[in-house]
Amino acid sequence: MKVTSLLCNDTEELREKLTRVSAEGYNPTLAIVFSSINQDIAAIQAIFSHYEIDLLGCTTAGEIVDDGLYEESIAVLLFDINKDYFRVIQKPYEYPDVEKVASEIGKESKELFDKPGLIVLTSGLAINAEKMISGFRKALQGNVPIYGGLAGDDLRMHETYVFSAKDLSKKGICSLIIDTEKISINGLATSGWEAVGIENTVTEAQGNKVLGINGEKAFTVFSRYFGFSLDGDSDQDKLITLQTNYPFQFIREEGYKVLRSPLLVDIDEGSITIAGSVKKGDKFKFSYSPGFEVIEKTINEFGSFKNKIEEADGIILFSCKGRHGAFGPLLEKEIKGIHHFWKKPLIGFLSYGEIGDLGNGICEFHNETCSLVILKEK
Amino acid sequence: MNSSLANLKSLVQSSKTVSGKEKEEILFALEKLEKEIEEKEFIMRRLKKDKSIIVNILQTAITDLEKSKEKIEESNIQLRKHQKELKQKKKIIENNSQTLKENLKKLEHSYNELEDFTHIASHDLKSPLRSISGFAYLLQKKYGNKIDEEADKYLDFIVSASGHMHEVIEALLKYSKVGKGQQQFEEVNLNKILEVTLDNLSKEIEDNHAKVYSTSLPTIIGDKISLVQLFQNLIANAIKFKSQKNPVIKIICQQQQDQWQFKVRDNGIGMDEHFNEKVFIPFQRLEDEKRPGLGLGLAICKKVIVVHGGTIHFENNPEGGTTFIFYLPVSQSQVQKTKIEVSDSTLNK
Repeated sequence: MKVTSLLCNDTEELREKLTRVSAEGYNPTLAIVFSSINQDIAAIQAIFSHYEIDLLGCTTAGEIVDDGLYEESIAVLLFDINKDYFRVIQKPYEYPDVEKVASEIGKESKELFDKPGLIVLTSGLAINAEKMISGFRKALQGNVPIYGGLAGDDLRMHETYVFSAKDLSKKGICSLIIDTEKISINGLATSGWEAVGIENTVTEAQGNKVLGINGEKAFTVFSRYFGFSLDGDSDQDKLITLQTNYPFQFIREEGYKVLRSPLLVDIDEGSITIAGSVKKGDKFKFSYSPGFEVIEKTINEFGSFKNKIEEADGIILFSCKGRHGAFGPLLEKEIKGIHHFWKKPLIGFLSYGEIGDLGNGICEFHNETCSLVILKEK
Repeated sequence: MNSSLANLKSLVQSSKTVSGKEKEEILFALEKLEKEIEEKEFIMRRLKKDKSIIVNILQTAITDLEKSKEKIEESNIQLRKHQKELKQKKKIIENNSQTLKENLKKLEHSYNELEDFTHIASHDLKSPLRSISGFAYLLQKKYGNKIDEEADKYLDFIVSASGHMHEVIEALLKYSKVGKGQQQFEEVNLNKILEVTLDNLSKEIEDNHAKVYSTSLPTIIGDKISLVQLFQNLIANAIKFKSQKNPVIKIICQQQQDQWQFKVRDNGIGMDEHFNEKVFIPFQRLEDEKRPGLGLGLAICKKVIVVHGGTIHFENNPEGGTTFIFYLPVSQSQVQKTKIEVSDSTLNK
């Protein structure tokens, strides 16, 4: 399976580059596209439809191609993969049906292949990703590889999109179903955020909305802890920084922690929406950004992973936008380090949530992680 | 971009004295420097921002902790107050308990004294009573029909009353003997006790066409004489208070954990369950004074059972008649033994 990565500044450049690769005799059958919301998504769909290339894509908060991090661009990974080995399924959902829709996709995957593996792109704001994973699990049973990311919108926190060659959706799940008997999928996710302060209790919750913390309105506690007040427009930026850089660390009953970034803040209601389920009685601590040494730690972890998964045809990286906020230009060091291990075509994007394996062999929904996926034809 | 670096870059680019290759190297170094400066500036910015956030988070956490501490201290004060109250209540309860213990001891003492008095009084009354009834009998025999009709009537009263009094004194003596020092506790096979009982009651059984059925009975630790009295009183009672039908008495025994449950079921006239307490008190004969007896039989039964560490009560059968249910402890050596199998062995005498 030949895989090629492309970086394009606009759809014209995309058209040119595709024409060139086609002229060189390369005929890709599948494209994964991560695009800035500023790009013309409909045009991107039309270009790939023209070349009869199946498409799996989403909008982002930053694009990664090979060893570089870019803004407002289009990242493309092309595969000349046998069409019998994969299928792109996109379905819309309405909250709170995401679990049911994921379950339907799971069932179709099982009907397509005995051993399916999934790469899932989903809307980044209006989603309960934990419920989505639960839906997949119920239908697929067993530990099926599921990797992916939540779409971004260049931190506008307004609307995100997923798309296939035909469909474009604000509330949708776009899945690449792969026959893992033909193409192997392996991955690893890593984090690094530290908890700070006292243990807090969720005293009121609804779905994935935190309404009360320690008996007060959630936003009141949140703003007091971060010394935040809404005095002017510049505070909106600060609010977004807080949302992406300082996640909640929920302490699960089993003892392990999960990071959940605040996705939306409703100041009138005093609520904070996170990307996963939350219930009354849940305990959490606030976080502060990790030290810069975490970048080296992450690279070392992926180095160890390389010793296990030596070969790759193509690589996909889902890196949380919060990491970019925390590491700034240094994030490129992390990307370079990862690309250096396999030196194979790599694309990725800065996401609003990641689906990956933190090293325990179970693919789950996370925030503030860097989730890597290695694809290799058997 | 850093303005000094930008100036330097344009200076290098426009320079005519620097060669092309040198320009390339200098520009590469300047770009590298520019990136490093950008990184350093970012680190400084983030550290500054993190510092202010962390300080705020920690300050807020400390304030919250202080508030929690205040709440805990308040709760501690309340707790101490409750503890003090509890201590006082405990002292009152302890005092009451001590008073109760003392009263119980006094009561026990009074009860023993009363029992001793009953025993002594009954015993001492027997001898003068024997004289009264003996001389009344002689008087009746010698002067009966010789004085006048009224005198004969008075003599009849004296003889009859002294006879009744004799019965009462005998029953009182029996009652007071239960639980006294002369009892011997040993292994007793209740099947044999029942056999003796049925022998003692053979005339009543025969006269009343009564039938007595029993399951196999266990061996317990007890006093033989008292236990015969127990079974005898219950069976005699069942015969005494028979209905229109011939009396049928069934004795059923089964183990319930560490005690034996005995049921003595009859088809007699039954009893109002309202009298469950009264019926076991000496000389209580309920409302029907015409029934024969002194009203001591069931009181003796209760005393025997209490002395053996058990309890007794009665229930009315839905189909008529009464069931006396009593419990006796299973001796420790028997606790492990298999439950006695209920059989329908008939002991009809």
